[in-house]
Amino acid sequence: MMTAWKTHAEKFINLNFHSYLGLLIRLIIGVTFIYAAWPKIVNPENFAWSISMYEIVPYKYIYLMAIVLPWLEMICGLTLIFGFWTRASSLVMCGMLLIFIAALSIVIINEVEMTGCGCFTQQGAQALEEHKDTIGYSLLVRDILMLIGGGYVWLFDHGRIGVDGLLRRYKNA
Amino acid sequence: MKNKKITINIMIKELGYSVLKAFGIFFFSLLVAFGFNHVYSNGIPLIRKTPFEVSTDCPEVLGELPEITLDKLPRGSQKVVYMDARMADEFVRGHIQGAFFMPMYPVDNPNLKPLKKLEKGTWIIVYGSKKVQNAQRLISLLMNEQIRGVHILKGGFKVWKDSGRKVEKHPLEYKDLNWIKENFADILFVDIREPDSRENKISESINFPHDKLLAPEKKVLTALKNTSKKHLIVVTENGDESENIKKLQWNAAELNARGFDNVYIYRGDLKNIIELENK
Repeated sequence: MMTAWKTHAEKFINLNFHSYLGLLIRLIIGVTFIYAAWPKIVNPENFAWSISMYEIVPYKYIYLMAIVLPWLEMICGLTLIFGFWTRASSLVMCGMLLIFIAALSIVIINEVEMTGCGCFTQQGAQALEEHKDTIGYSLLVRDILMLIGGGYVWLFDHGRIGVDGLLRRYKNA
Repeated sequence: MKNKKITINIMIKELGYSVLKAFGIFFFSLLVAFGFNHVYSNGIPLIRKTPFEVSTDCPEVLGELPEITLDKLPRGSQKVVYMDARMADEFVRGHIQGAFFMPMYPVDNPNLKPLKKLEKGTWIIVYGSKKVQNAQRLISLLMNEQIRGVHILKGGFKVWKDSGRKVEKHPLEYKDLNWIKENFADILFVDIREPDSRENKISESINFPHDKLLAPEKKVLTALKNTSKKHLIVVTENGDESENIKKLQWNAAELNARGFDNVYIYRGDLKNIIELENK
């Protein structure tokens, strides 16, 4: 019984389909992360303002977060696209997405007024009082979808298409 | 080349290794991030010492205003408006292109209505002269009004100008009696004398007395806006006296800064115009 289950599972995880779907997900998430990371890297002060709007992190550590987080996004985005340490980078990405989802949930539950999540631009943090708005569920859905995609890559993308695959082939040759 | 078959055991092993490698990615990112921040000109300190003023209402309580330096001003597609907190004569001599004229009179507060029309997420950069005292007062006022996203430009207009960035000017123009004679029918005269000293006056004139401490009266500005005349000429008695010239320039600048671009100064004596009218 156990062997039959194992055989089916191994058959499933060895499907070539995973590599292609994994690549598609990696490209989408990787490009999204790089696109999101660049303006934050260029203007860390503004990103710090965005983080402060969430009212979660103590102000002393906001700068630290504003320095590290964008580079983590950038490096994960690049490693995902090129398929280097694919599983590890998707794991880090999932960790980040979990943090973003938690932050957005807190903002939604507490009805913290913001004009944007600060994910792609930092304008959200700079706004007039009368234009303030609460964060919508669409952002949460976006992050959850990316988390599912990241989870899929972590589990089923063996890195056949990418640097990992090339290194493995070179090692086995 | 055929790929090696992955068993459940290999997969579990790979997933386990991925956790270790994830730490590797994290520490590598830390290294790159700190290194980049160290060499980057827009780098920030690792620890912030003061709270962000996003949810506070009075910067004077904090004793710190949200200053921004010239190199950190938002660029490109980001929405940004500039508020000029200086007085009219400084504004017309040169200001940041497209800046709002929002003078901080010693007595009156500025009109904040233009701010209410701004789009979401707009940056508001307030600047004053080199000493930026007016700008500090304006930014305190804006923050007390719960307006967010405001920054004060460190060094004021001087650093902007010295950096060679675009400056807009409204030079004041002077007109002589001949020009006035030719265009008399199209001119509304702006008489800047005090109301009780206006014994002789031009019939087509409006009284706009000089007071540096106060903002001009709204009803006078409305009347000037609604006039059908093409030109506004600022006049006073003995317009060639140095003290009166200053007053003329001040009033013309005040109108010019408020969007009246057809304002001119007559430096002669008001009597000449009255004689011209009587002829």
